[in-house]
Amino acid sequence: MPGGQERALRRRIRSIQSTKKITRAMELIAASQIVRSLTRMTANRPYREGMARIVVEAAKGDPAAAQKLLGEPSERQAVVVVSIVADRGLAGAYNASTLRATERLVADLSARGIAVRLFTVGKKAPSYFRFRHQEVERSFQGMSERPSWADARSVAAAVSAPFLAGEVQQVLLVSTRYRSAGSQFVETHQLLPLPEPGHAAVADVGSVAAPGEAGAATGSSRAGESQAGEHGSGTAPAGDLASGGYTEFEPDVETLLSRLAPRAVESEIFTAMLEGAASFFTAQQRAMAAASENADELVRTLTRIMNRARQDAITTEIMEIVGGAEALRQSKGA
Amino acid sequence: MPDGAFEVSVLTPESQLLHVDARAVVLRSSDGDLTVLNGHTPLVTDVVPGRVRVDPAEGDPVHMAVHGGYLQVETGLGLGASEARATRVTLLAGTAELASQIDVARAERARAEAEARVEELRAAQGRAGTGTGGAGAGGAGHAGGEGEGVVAEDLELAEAEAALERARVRLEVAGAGS
Repeated sequence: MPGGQERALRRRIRSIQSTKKITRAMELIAASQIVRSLTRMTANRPYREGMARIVVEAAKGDPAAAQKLLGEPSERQAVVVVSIVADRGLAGAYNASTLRATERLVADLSARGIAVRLFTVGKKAPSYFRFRHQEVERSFQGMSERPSWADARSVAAAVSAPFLAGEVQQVLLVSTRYRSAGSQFVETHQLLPLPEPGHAAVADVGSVAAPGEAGAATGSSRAGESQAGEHGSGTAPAGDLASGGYTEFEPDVETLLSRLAPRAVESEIFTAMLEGAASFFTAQQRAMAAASENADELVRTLTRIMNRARQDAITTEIMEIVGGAEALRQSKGA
Repeated sequence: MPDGAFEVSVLTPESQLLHVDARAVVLRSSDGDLTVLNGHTPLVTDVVPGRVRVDPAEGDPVHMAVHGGYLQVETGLGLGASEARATRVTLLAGTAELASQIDVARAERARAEAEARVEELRAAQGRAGTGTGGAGAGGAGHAGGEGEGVVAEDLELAEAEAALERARVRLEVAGAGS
């Protein structure tokens, strides 16, 4: 029945248009949240760099004491893996790519006979891992969109505890890094022991490519660059700064470093959460913009189909009338 | 930059609290009170919770409540804009606020709340302590469960005590600072 088809199409178009209103609104909200996240990232940067400088300084002050808390672990029997994703979806591949990278890292470590204890941030993580029968030791929720310093502290305390108690030899962090509006990528960082100054913080295992964006190689080399950049203020001027070597420490370096390490981890996690939030909103904005565009496209196509259906209906009707008239005339003539 | 002044920044994870040219920074580390002047020897130290005073090159001293942190003093050539010997001081604190920004009424309320909480937890712990002593001969599995409970309680108590300490520091700094 021709009229029925037209009505069905009209209803579909209306439904797509109202979906588009929602995706458009989400796109705009995400855009404003990006700005807010970026402001917070910028505000966090001086603290993070200051923290890196102090750790470098302390490590230079007493390399022997630093050995325990810095560098690569000599052997790994157990490892803590921390994965940071979002509470909500509708953000393209943001959650999926980080979770996939985490899963691969966990599989890789397990294959080497290393026990893995998994901690996650974000509501999307536990359901993903439950489905894959991967146990999550502890999951933090409700903080991924606007992470506060207190949130970062509680996460840091939980993930550092096994390391400080000597139960694991390494703590790894998998999260999405925000480089620019056009480039975010998943990266694996070593949280504990603290990465050796001057070395890239990117762990040797499981650097992963984000879909369609910067690959693993770009990811690692970027971290190298940024490290070099950070130390531009720390290590590089040491020659003319001449403070390296006779810096005083109160209390002694070993005590200081053991107290400083948890603070450094807090700072790293906070930064990762902020960058994760910024990446989330960027991904969400992109996904919602694509969805709105697709809705436009669908409406266009469906309108065309609907018009043709209406035209067909009209044509059929005319044919019927003409046919009827013809039949009448013939019967009259006969 | 005027003579005898140096760059001071006070940083928290969420903001840069202060960035000025100063003549002196007065604070307390775990080894005792400390005043940093221009040309101070390079130093890395912890900062115990309490008042930190920064004397800017111009204007009135700035008081801050710092809830624990770390201080780095860098002195050497080529720091800052000039080629000459210069000092740069960086104070990193998880939480810190300017004395002028402290809400005394709120801090007062927070102190009362924290005090009540600490007392409540201490009392509960006292009871739990004697309880564990009495039931000391209980099964091993049971003891494990209790142990965990005590750890969680300890954490809560530590948190409440930290909150109380923060409120005290705030009130102390706000009282004499402004």
